[in-house]
Amino acid sequence: MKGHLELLLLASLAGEPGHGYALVERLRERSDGAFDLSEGTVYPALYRLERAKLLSSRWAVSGGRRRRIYTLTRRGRDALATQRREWVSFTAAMKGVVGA
Amino acid sequence: MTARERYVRELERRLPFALGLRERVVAEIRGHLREGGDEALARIGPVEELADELARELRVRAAARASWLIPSLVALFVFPFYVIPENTLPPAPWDVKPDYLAWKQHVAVWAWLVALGLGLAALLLGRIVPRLALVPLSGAVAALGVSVTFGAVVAIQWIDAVPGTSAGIAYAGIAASAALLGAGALVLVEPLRGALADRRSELTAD
Repeated sequence: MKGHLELLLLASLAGEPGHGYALVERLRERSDGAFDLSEGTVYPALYRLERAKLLSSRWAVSGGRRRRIYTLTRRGRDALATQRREWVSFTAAMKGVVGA
Repeated sequence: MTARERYVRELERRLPFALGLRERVVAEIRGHLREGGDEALARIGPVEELADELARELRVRAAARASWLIPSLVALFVFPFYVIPENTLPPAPWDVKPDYLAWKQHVAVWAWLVALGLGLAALLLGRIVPRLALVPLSGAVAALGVSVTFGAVVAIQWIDAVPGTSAGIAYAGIAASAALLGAGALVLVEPLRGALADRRSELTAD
């Protein structure tokens, strides 16, 4: 799970920008509760992605709360597309070996 | 104090100083816990583990930031060292500068040039491997220290050697130079501590 966290975060941000807590919620909802991760792991991963310029972030106020909103950059979208392709070919190969 | 606030304060205590980055991280985690309440606190994980991971990231960022901030400070040294004295102090009364001033001034100039060269090397290296930039950055701060020290001695001797020299301007220049040096050292401390801590962990792991 940890090895795929960065791909999951990029994919979670593909549709719309979001703050850390919202991303944790998205991951939980989209995985039907399977990805109920330790929430602290999300922030170091977000900071790594930001440092790699795959994400950008800014403070925004919504509903009276100040939140750091993360957005995919162009480089982030390209990285997501590449990682998606790799993931699809990896799962296809696994399926071929393990069977399903 | 709530358990959530205790968690945030403990996290803040464990994170390194990193010029505004720590405040951002703490604000985000505080917001996260406020959003998710006690459930989020239960799921966020032990504070020491989160602090360790975040500290690693903060130190990498602090190193990257130091790799451009320190060369900028070294470049700014040209103002108290040359531009301001040259344009505010009276002309020297001699044709040939006395030896006791000349050699110290040469040391100060050469040390500054070395600091500038190392700073530029760090600037380039910092874009590729921020941690490696710490070596030339440390050299740049040390060389700047030499330049500031010898520059200060020259400034003090200049007051007596050149009639009409403003002691106020000379001492203000020394203070400004020392402030630049102090800022450079401060910027360098946290990334260096991080690099040493990582090295210790690697050695322990071996």
